[in-house]
Amino acid sequence: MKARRSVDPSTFVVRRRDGSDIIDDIDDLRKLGTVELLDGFPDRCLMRPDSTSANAKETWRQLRNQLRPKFEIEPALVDDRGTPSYPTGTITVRFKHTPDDDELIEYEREWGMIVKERNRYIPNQVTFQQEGEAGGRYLPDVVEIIQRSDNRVQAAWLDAISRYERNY
Amino acid sequence: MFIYTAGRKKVKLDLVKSEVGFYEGESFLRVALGEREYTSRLSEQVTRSAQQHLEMPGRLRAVRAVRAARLGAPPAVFEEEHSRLTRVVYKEVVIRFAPKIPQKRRRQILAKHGLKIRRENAFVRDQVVAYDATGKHTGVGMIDVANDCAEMVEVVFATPNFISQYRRDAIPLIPVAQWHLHNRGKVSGQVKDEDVNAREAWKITQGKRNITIAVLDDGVDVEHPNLKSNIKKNPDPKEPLDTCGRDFFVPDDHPEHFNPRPKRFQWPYYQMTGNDIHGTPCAGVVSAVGKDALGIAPKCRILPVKIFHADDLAPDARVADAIRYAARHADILSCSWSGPASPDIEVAIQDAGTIGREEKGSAVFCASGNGAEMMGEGVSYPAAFDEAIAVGASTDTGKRAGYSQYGAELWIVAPSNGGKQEIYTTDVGYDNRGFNIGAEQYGGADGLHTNGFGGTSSATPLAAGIGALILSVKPSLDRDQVAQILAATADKIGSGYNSAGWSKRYGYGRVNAVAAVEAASAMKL
Repeated sequence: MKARRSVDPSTFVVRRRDGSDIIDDIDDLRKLGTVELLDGFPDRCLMRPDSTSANAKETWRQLRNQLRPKFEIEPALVDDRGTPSYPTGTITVRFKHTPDDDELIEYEREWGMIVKERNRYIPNQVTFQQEGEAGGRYLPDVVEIIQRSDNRVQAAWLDAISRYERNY
Repeated sequence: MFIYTAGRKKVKLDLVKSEVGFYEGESFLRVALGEREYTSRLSEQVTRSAQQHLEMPGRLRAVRAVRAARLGAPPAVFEEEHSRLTRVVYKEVVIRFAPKIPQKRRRQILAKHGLKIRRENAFVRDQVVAYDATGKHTGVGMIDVANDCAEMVEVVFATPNFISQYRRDAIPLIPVAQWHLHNRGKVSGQVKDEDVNAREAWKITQGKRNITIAVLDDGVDVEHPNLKSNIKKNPDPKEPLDTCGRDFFVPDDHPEHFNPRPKRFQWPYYQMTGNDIHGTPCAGVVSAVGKDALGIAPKCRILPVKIFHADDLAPDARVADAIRYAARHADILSCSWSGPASPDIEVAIQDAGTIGREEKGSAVFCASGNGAEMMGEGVSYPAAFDEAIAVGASTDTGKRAGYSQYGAELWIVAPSNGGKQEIYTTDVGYDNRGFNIGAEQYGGADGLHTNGFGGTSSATPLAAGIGALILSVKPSLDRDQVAQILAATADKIGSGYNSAGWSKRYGYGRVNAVAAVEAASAMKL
């Protein structure tokens, strides 16, 4: 695949776990860094922490320790043109062959994820969300391990929301 | 405005302020021209018909000569308001009497207007063609005669015996403002013929109804008068709610999912920021139809697929699924936008190669991006993905538009703004919405069109529409073949082409509709 994204060590998506509006938490979050709301997604915001570590994963760990269990934290992504994307907390796996329901149950157990939905057009493409305690994992690592080590998988990626530009 | 009665319908006619011309020997005398450039060709057609069918003398110098020859008023030339087809009336009327009306009464009805029977219909006993023997009603007056007869209880219908232009052979008349289709070099500095040769291509095909181009954008005004008739109806036959496309920005179970119209507006309504006003001009570039604005493929259909609500963040997965949906129900996809390097969108464009057109693949045309002046070299995503056709922009002077992103992935360029003139196309027709909210200088007081569109956003649907013309003449081509034909037939504008005919600033060159359609027609598969 040509699409390559890396984590942006300075920007994180902070999302309310219960899905409620994040606006009431903004003052508290601002104590940790600059905060930017995301249009159309009232349960989350972008945070650029005042204090960052040498790498994104370490900064993520620090933020997570400060903000759990109320919030989920994901590092923002950026592509080779500098265009950002903001992960949603789900992972999509495109299998080489279409897994049946039993295989998916096995896959859920193996990776500590639960099926969110099977793609309606491409049945071998399935979206998972984190389950329970496993929800605290660093998702860029999870995706990389799946891609590298799972020979059932054609590709895997972090789902994201993005700002698109109409080229007028 | 004139009105004649066709059955129960009242049909409006505009009198064309020109008259029919005549042949003298083989020379066409340009008497019937008016101001419009097309008129001469049309008049020639009409004149040939008129001389054949209206029993005019053959050797007359001009309409004035007709008068001089004491033949009464000249024929009247109309345009039908709805269809814009030309209709000519001279001095005949077709009358169908009700059955069992005695011959004596029929003669009385005709005599009232000085009409005499020219001939009786060979198949319908009660129908006659009558002519104005007095010379009083010739031309415009024949409309009144026909209407008067139609009012009578003894008459089933009466209509001027029109000599008509039929759509089947009509090449649409390209407005001067649509230079990207036919550049006449009318504006100072604009270079004649720096266009895509639409007129020449349309002599071969204007597209086929069974070829559909999906416009994935911020919504299409499906009721726009220049788009309405070309919107694909019920694209997904298995889903009755899918009447004219979908809105993938919202989930399937959202009440707005089956409404692909523009929805998000905020003041100032003429600026793109905050407003869903981008998809409607794109759709117009592809497939507008009507006298005010034309798309490059005016007989193909449009599938509106809404993926954005103005500038709001959009889920990549929904954009990707919109591509998959479009590939199921359209032959060509047009994407006038840029975004991140999303793996889901990359594989969706690959999927379009297998989902679409019974595995022949739906070609996905993507804008190269408008950021060249800031970014330098590099094509934006998704245009940069291997299986997308990356489209850049050229100008009305035959140069690369300065903003048009270029680089290794660029496939072709197509005319857009950045030179002397911008692009004239359809605009959101809602009151006070769109790039032109209703000013003559921005595209017309009715606000239905804009003369300020452009960017690689406009180049992309233009190239996509040419892809649709290619499939109209050769539907068996797969999507790679469509891309190859576009490349092989492109005009080598600018410089820097390598031995393979590719340049990083122009790709394989500027799309040439007629060359592409001819090449597709000639292909043996």
